[in-house]
Amino acid sequence: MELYQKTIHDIAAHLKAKKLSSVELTKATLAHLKAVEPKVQSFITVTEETALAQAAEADKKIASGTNVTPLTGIPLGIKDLLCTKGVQTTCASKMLEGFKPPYNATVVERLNAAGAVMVGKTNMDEFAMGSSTETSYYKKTKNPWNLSCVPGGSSGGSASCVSADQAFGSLGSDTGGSIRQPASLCGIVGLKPTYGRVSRYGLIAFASSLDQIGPMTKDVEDCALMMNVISGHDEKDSTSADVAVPDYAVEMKKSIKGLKIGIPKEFFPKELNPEVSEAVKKAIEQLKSLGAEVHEISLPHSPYSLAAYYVLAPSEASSNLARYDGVRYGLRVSGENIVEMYSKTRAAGFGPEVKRRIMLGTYALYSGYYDAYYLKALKVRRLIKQDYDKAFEKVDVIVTPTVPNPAFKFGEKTDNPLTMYLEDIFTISINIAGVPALSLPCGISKTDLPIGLQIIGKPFDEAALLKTAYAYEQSTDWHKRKPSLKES
Amino acid sequence: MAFEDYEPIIGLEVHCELKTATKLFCGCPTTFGNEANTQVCPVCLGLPGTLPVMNGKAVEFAVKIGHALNCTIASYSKGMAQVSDPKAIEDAVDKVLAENPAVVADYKGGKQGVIGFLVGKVMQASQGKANPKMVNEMIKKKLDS
Repeated sequence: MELYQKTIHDIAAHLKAKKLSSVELTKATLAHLKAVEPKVQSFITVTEETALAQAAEADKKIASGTNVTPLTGIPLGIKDLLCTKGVQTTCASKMLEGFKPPYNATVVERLNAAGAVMVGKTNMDEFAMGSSTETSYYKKTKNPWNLSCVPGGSSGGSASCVSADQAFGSLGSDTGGSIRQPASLCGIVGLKPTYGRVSRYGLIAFASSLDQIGPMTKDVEDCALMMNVISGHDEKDSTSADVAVPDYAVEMKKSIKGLKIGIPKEFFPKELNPEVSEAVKKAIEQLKSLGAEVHEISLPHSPYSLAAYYVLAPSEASSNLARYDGVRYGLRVSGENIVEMYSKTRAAGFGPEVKRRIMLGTYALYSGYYDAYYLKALKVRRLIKQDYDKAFEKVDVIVTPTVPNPAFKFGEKTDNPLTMYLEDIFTISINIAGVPALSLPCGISKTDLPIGLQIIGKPFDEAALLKTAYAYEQSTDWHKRKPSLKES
Repeated sequence: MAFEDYEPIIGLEVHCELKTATKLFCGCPTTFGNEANTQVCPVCLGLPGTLPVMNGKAVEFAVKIGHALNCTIASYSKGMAQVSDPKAIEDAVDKVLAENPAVVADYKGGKQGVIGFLVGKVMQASQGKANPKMVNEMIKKKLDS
């Protein structure tokens, strides 16, 4: 096994034992990154110089034994909607081409303080709007398991770089499934924390009441290690919760005997892809054999989640993206007067999906339509959250498929936006309710594409997610499978 | 009509700058006279990714003046959604008309100008959320019949 194919916890042991330096590790990782990048296209910006400088700093810390954490010296990828000081942050949009934030996102500061190394900014759907990374202005990222298939989205580059061993882990963001769906399609672990668990300061906003940043990793232990670093209250983010952060790496190893698992019947329709259904059901049996109890539950308002989301998220997006006007930063297209500058800049800077969602949101918030759409969607949101609250009175975690199908081909779902939106059908209610959820691999399809298992938890109970996932993962070997980087 | 037939109703909207040390949503100072661009930060520049943090002192001042002017202080903000449900507005209007018989009598006696007072009372009762145009029309409908 090559160095860059190892997990964070494995390679950290090597670094700690001084079997190799972070600079050596980073060089090897970057060499592999560049070798496969023409095929995978995970990165918008590769930060080789920064990475090597950070690696040298990490080596100093390891040598002196001060401030060494499990992430010290580890090369990671960062989704390109997280502000990185002095490093281009584009949100995969023409609107922010060349934009270099003068500050770091809080999660980036925390990774830096932990001694991590940033190899690059990963590709994504433009402004996080999409489920295939096809709306990126810059490039299309390929699924390492089959290069003619999408990696999922919007954190497609964050998923593919981990799956293809171009980085040991990455940060993604999830508003309707954007960490979990690409994790499922690329056969890796992805966790969306409870709303408020991780600071959003420096996350370029899409939908402020739904967005969360989370880790994407090769296995559950790596995910726990990253969660330990990024979680916790931030005074710069008033929506971040002042709730203590447990040691997730310790919690993860606790027993799941007697753990009550809920299986919601709404997530297992008759028409569900039989391969997905079989893989998920086998995983549930596996969890039973590990000591968990399985209960059938209902989340009755699930059928309304997609509709509610596609009113709430675009509404918030129309507000958050109003700042891109060509005045202070980003693209500017001049006009005869200021209004013309605004409209020309926004016409040129935004792609069609972003424009579609801004218009949807503006319409839904328009006086006269506000009650019928936005207010109604907020009421549906309340009902969806109540479904989860009720379910969690009976069970500790909920298990479902992450997505209805394995990875699809490029262009397969771009004709009709609604077919793309349906990709998120199992992930979306989780963001609406604000609860945490994780995806990990639980099978491979006949066409050699990964199938993902979703585990949903109570607010601030990421520990239960991680221990359930860890127990399952350690009794199988899905996490050891590697993609072939073939095209078919 | 003669001058005496007009009744002036004067409303005062007062804007008052709160004497806080820092800005409303960030820690930048509010002092006057310094060099340009020295009292800004990513938050008050509205740079992508930044988030506002509420200035607690400003909230304190607002509550103080609320008390001084005999207002009702809302214990939490339920959001600025406007209420335009006809039933809800009708209920609110009925209540205000029942509580202000003298003013209703004035209106019916020809002092149409007092409708402003009644609209104001409904707005106050709904914590500013009722659709004012609908309230005005509802009151007229009820009192003109």
